[in-house]
Amino acid sequence: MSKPLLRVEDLHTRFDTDRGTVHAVDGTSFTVDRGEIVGVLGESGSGKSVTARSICRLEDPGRIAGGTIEFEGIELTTAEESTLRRLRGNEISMVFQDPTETLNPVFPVGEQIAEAVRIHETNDRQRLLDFLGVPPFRDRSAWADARERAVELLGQMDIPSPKSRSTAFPHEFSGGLRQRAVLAVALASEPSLLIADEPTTALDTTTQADILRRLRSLRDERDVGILLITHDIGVIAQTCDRVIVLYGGQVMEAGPVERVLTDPAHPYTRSLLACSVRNTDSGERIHSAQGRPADPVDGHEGCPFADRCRHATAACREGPIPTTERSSEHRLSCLEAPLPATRESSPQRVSPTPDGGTTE
Amino acid sequence: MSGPAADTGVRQESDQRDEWTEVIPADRLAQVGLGIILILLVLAVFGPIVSPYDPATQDLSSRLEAPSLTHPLGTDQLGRDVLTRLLHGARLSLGIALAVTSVRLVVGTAVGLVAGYAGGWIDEALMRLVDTLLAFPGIVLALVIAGILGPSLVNVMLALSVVGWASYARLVRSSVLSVREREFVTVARLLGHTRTHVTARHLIPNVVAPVVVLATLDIGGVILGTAGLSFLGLGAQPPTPEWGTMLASGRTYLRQAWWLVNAPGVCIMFTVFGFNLLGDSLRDTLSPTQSAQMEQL
Repeated sequence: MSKPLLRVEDLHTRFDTDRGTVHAVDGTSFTVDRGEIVGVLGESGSGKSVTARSICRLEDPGRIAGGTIEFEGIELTTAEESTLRRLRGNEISMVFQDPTETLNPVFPVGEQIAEAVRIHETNDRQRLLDFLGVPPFRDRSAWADARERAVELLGQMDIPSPKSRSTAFPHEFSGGLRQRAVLAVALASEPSLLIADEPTTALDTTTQADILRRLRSLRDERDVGILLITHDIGVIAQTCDRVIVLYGGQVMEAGPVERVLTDPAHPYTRSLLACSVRNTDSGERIHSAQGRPADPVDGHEGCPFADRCRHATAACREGPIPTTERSSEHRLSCLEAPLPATRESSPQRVSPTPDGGTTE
Repeated sequence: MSGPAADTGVRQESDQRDEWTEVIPADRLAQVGLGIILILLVLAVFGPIVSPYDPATQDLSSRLEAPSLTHPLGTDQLGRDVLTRLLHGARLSLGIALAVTSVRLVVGTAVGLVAGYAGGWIDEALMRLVDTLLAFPGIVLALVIAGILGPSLVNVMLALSVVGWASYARLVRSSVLSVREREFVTVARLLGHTRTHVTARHLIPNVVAPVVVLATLDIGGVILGTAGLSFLGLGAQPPTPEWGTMLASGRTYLRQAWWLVNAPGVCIMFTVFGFNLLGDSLRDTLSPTQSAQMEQL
């Protein structure tokens, strides 16, 4: 197999705070190929977004403390600012959770897409006065072309009457339209890697389905590699080819979606799946995960999930957890695996006590 | 240029124009304020051309004449037509106010942008300087500076500029701090913008509204400041027809010739009033959420 589009190896991103160093990403490794959608699954604070920002090198105020991020053979952790700028303008795009925040409120939507198109075109030779629209320095025909391209992109995103919509301001758009416009901005540079950080969390289910369908068609038609970050197992199941389960900044389990979701080997993946509405019988109470995510200050010596895991042993809390390969594609970081059968181990059998602890 | 794109550009412009014309007449007070300012501008531009008198030529045979048809606002102690001097003074006052406010605005915005976007020790250093300036009442500091530099109109402008930019820097910095954390700034960087680009194209347009409001409100203050310093003898020197100077020299004749003091006084009042009205309603329409923040400045 050829080299992957993106290879992240043993990445550590840390934040220095008053309480100590927060190990937000703590030795994460994964790859993303062209033409595949890789899902990153995990609850809040598991390091998903920091991983995404680290790849774009927007980890500020955090810092990358170790590991490598290799994009098309270019090492990003040590890359020059100008190299990063070129990559961001041409190869890597990112879509954020909240489309209201992602669009600049003072510019028409079409203008913002046109801007992305122009940055992509002008590459490293951006002239400030051209972008500010100072008359003699503005390349009028190029901007006119860019605007046309913007309308075209809006049309491709299935936005009705894209031409008149392109002169509208972000606040005149509905949430779904906005996220589609954001996607148009991200795709204006024709990237080979798209990082989507919870792109559908702020949207209703119909719009969510539409955006996800769009991501899939991007993968199939333009051969884009997509890193899709979400806490929604349903989104992963619908969209992704492979999934990475992240907890405490570490990869708990990684593998093909159907394998990981139907036959999860890690206790954390199992507890996540047990909380899914789809896996709950009708009339049964929906489960919620017990306990809170581990405190990431000063990192973890053993398994970060050990405190919430009912299979945890002393060895889990002490030593480093080796990554084992269940099969060629399916990686796992758990000492206790293989676990007993799914139904037995899922937390639904654990009845919560009034103080929120569990009876064991 | 091709059809559809040109159409887009035109539509965009007309949209913006619509917004502006919608903003101002919606508010009665703003209309009044804008009306006063427009009348003043017209008077300042055309008045001196129309007037048959010279603002500096003395005519001692017609000293301290009461308002009449030949001299609608009377004459002063040296027989000069008060109305003519007022019209020339309007040019001076508005010119100075605009110049000083522009300097304040540009310097303050630049400092605020740098402090807010750079952060760190640069921010600290600049903000301590701003704190120092804000610690003194503006007019006192301006008095000191104008006093040291010597009495002249240019020095007064300089003194008022030095004193006033601090509140702009404060305002811009705080806006930048909130705007730069927003996702679209991150997105702009993600698109491959340089820092200068992000600042010029994405930060400035988002912080400009409160600054415009502050500037409008500030113009009135500058006019008052100029007049005040001139009144104290630090600004324009006679025979320059500056409103504050006219006020100062007319004061001696308050009992014989009320029009000497009242005419420039009323002019100053109406000008400041007009700008404040406009500024107030601009504040309400452009940045309703920031009204509270602006009030403190």
